[in-house]
Amino acid sequence: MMRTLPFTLMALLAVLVALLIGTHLNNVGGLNHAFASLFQTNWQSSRSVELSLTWWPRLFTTLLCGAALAVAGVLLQQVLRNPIASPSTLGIASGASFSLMLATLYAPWLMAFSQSLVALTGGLITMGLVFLLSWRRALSPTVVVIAGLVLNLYFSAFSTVLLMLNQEKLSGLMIWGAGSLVQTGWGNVTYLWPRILAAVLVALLFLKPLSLLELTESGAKSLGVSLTKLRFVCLGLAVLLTSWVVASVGVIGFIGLAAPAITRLMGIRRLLPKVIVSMILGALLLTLTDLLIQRLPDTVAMVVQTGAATAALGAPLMLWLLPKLAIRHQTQAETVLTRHNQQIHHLSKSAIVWTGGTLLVGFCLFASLSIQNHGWQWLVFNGDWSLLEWRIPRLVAALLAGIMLAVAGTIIQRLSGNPMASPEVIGISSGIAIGLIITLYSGLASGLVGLYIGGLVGALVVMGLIVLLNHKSGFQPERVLLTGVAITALMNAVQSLILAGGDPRSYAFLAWLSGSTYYVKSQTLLPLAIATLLLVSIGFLLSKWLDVLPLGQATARSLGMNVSRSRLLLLLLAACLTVAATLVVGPLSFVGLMAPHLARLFGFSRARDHLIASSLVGGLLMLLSDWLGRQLLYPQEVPAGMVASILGGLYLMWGLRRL
Amino acid sequence: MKRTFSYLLLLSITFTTHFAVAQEREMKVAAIDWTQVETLLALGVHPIGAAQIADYNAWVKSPAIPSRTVDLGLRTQPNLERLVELKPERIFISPMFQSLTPQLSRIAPVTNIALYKKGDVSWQAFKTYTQTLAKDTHREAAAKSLIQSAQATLATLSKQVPTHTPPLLMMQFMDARHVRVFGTNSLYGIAAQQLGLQSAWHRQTNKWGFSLVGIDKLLGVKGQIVVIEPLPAGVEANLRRDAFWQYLVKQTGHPMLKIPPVWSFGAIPSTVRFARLLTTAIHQESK
Repeated sequence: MMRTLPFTLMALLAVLVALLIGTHLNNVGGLNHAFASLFQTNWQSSRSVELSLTWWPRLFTTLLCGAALAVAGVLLQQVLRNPIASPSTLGIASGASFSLMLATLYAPWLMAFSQSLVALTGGLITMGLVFLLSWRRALSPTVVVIAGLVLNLYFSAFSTVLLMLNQEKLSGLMIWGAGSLVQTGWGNVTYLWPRILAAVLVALLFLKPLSLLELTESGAKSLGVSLTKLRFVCLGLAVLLTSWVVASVGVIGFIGLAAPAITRLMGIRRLLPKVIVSMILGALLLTLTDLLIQRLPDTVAMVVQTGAATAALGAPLMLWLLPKLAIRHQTQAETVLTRHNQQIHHLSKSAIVWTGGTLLVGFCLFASLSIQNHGWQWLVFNGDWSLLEWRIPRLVAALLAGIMLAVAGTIIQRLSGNPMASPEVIGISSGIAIGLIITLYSGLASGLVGLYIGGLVGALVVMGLIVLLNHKSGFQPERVLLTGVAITALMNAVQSLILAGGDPRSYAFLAWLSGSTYYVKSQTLLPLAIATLLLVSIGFLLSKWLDVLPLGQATARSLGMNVSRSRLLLLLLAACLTVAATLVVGPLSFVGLMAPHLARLFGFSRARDHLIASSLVGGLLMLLSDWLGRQLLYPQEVPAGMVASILGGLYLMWGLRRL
Repeated sequence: MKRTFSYLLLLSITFTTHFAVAQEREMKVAAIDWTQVETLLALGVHPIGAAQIADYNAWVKSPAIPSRTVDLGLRTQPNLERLVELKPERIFISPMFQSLTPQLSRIAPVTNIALYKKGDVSWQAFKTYTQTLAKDTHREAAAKSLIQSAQATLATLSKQVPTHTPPLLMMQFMDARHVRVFGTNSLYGIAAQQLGLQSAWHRQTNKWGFSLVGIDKLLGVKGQIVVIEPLPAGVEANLRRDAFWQYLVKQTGHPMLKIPPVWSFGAIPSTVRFARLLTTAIHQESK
């Protein structure tokens, strides 16, 4: 059974691919003719030109890219010992995309020189930064993943700002971001194959030491493997593979995550067959998707690009596979951020007073001081107090949303013992976004109330999915996170499809997505305040659970807790907090990730203190971000969520460096 | 004597026109959508505020926004506090920015005027759109003369177009391998139609009149390729190297035409501008 399953699956995929290729070639004038076009272009026949300059190169590019991404995925997951690691988790794709945007806007001559070089440089610099941030911890898997995640968020935030400010100029890049495999010659194939081949060969050389990483860290060390060097080489190879693909055809989601995951599911444990099977699976999966997409009718094909489609198709597959995925328990104590800070700080009264005071002074200052039509103005001097009517609701909303996201983030991070976790990561925010997209594009509603309802339905569906897929495993943290990753991948896919279609409606969507307090009115504040008060107090009531759960299931059970029920309740609470906050400030505000981290870097680690500290930090961060966002590029507004992730990201990187 | 007379005449003309403008008190309007801005300007209304002025100047180009018009920031999120300070009497938006209505209507009455709708973009729709905007700003007379002069210009231009001009394949490059091809329901299509020309793109287009396709899909389409600038960075060099693109242009039987940037989603002013640029380009090519 274990032996035949992989072969059956691969054979099935191969037959499907061959069938699609065969019917296409037969339709365009016979197999003989088609294969002749592979080797020689007959310039007299437009059919032959089409086959030999677009169709064949596309097929080979797809096969190569799929294989390369799968190998990159296997390497990353092996080195980082993390089933969620994939080329996109580490920020390589977003770094490449960011560098392309910068070049398009500020150095167009670079784009004319070599687009793939720009993307490659961006990907490599991102990985360099990840290495730099995690170097002192010998490239420890957790630190590498966090550093990658932070950079990912950082670049995505910056890219979204650039995109909002220059949507017309960057619309071409959106197609690239959705991964279109259209080819007009053999350039990409000749660029890719020697490089990919070389990288795979080097990777095969390192298979033996890599498989030792399956053992524990100390085990590998005692066998005389230089961990740092090994990680450096393998991560480097994965980055190169990804960057080459990203640079030549664009961002292709999910293959790097799905192919290794399926391979693992098929029960393949040894590394060599894992690499080979993943490679074949990746190539076949991508090619199958691409061949199917080429058969779509015109109107649909216009908005569906392959890279985003693989992500959209792969996400449900991932959700389906999840219950079957055996995840090794990461020991909860391995979480870096608890490890470096063993002594417990108690939150002193004066610290609370200080932070609260800062919050109050900041609020008054931000409400009264701002750029206006004629430069900087302070309301105390010009007496134009009527403007407060516009400013106060936004500041209050930012503050409340910040607090709620911070509490939600603290709960999820403590619950999962995973420093990557946050409301954004478990997929609730993405669910809201998908709901919103459907409402906006199906024409069900375009008013604000309609959008809110759409978002809420999306959030509830995702929460239902999380519960449905995880109740059997007792809401095991890694599994919940994986669910979130799959849902987020789906959202990203839908989002890049929409942006690539060039539909001018994507403006409104992007504006909301970037997390702005723009739409807040005084009437929305009361329900928001009630929700905050209610949900945050529940959070504090349950803080004892948050102290016990990170100690591990056994300890919690021995203390008489019903582990899965308390996990479910906490999860539900975090979800409600996120929905309330996200409906106001959008799904991308990353405060839920940043605030708990920052609170920890201050040194608070007991759950109650952690909650207080992170909600104060979260509130302050959002308050400052909202105000800054309105001043930075006046009269253009940078959404608060974007400013928050740019500010918080800087601090987090500084903190990582100190770890 | 003669000189004094002409001087007097000139003076009286300036005086009366000045008087006329003063009498028809200018309404303080703000416009978010660029199509509305271009139409308002063509009607002689100077908005006190418009969104993303620098980008308007790069993509719409003409009619130019006067320097006293204040920049409102992004079209998706025009700066509310700045709008409050400007105290407009009316704010124009299009359905694309409908989600702004609750906020903007706290500042001034909001008028939502739609232009680009599926299967409904035509010269007639452009005229109705202009008239609607004119009515809301009390510029009916200006609208009438704008439409008349536009139609007269288009008629003159259509006579200058050589009769044997092939159908046009009008496109804008997104990157080196993808284009927006404009067909029915598009501004470029309408301009061509008014000149008595045909579009070579018969596949279905979206609400805004274009299909987004890879250039491999253009193979076999017979027609004159018209590329509307700007070309994204690096695309031009790429196309020169691309054997497939060279073949594509060759098989149409006509050299590629390049047209300076014209706003793809505009109304009458952009249509006339495109028609003029297109006629010039065709003329130069046929010479």
